[in-house]
Amino acid sequence: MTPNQKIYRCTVTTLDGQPLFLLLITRERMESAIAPEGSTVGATPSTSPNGSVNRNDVDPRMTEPQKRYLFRLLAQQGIDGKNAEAHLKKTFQVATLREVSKTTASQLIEQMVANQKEAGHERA
Amino acid sequence: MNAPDSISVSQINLYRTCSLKYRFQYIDQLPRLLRASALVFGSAVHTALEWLHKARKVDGQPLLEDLLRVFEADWHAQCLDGEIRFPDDTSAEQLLVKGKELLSAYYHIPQQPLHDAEVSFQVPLVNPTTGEVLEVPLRGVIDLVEADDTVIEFKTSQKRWALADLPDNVQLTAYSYAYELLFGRAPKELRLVNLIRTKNPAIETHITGREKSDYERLFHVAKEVRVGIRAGVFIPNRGCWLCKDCEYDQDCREWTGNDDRHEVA
Repeated sequence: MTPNQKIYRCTVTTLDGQPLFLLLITRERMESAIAPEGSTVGATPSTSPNGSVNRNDVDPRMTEPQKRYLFRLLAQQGIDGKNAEAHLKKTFQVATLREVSKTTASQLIEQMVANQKEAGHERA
Repeated sequence: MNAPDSISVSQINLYRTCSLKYRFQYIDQLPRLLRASALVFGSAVHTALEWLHKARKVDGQPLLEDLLRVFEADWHAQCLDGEIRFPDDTSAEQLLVKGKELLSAYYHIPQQPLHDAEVSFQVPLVNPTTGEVLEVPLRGVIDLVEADDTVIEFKTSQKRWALADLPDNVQLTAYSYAYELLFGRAPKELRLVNLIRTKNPAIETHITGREKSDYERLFHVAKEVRVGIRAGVFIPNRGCWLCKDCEYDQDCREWTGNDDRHEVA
């Protein structure tokens, strides 16, 4: 199995729980070698000239460590818990944080870290 | 079976405790539909401790309220997605309070000068007797290194650490081994700090050390784990301590052997 593959196991059983057969589903993630010019940032997939959605360009979702780091950075600014969640939803303009892309999260983290450093220098 | 191109301390531990869970987690990469509250709790405490140590290294002594705020933020962030399984007698609010109590207690313990927190390593694993090198490097993260060469590992648990388990703890052996390779000298001591979330939260500290024979054993353990993974040997260990909170309980119950061993090289 390559790092781009994920295998899911599904067991089909009778009503009394006896296994009938095991289904192995392999999901392979394809990655384009070169980022297409003008590709969009965020969770929205880009559209090819013929109008079809190019799934290969989909930016992955914000990772768990990114989310946790954002909450930590906000806490350090005095924005806690539910308020932090609401703040992030408003900043990213999303209904749930699951919609946030990895790139967008990364950009906000960089910006917040830079702001904190700047604030630190001003205090010093 | 395609074995990974490095091996971590937690992978070694997991394979030894339940090789089938290793398969579900690292090879099949089955989605985790729920997480154990103890894991989430431990992770949030570790995040807060990492922040505290890094802040102490830079600024001296941060405020306790800032430490607790970091813990609460991380706890909240982790609770956002997915289901967390709490034991019948524990709620999210109770764990939040316990975490704050433990961190407050730790905060007030006098701290020695620090070298660094969360020290990542990836080092070749060598048998000190024969010079044989494991085909993949060993990787891991040391929680804390003090300036006087003390290596510290933090644990969160519901009970006291069994002293008899200390000499055989693979994690401490691996950290001691890695420290020697990274810093060119043996650690002064290995310290296990256990934050116990009992009714009256307590912090216990154990001190131990390692020698050449321990590193040789570590090499053999890691090598045999690699052999097992490559051969596709994954056996459920029902009844082990991991079962209580296992995310793959249903997959384990439905397991009918490793018949899909078509990937064996």
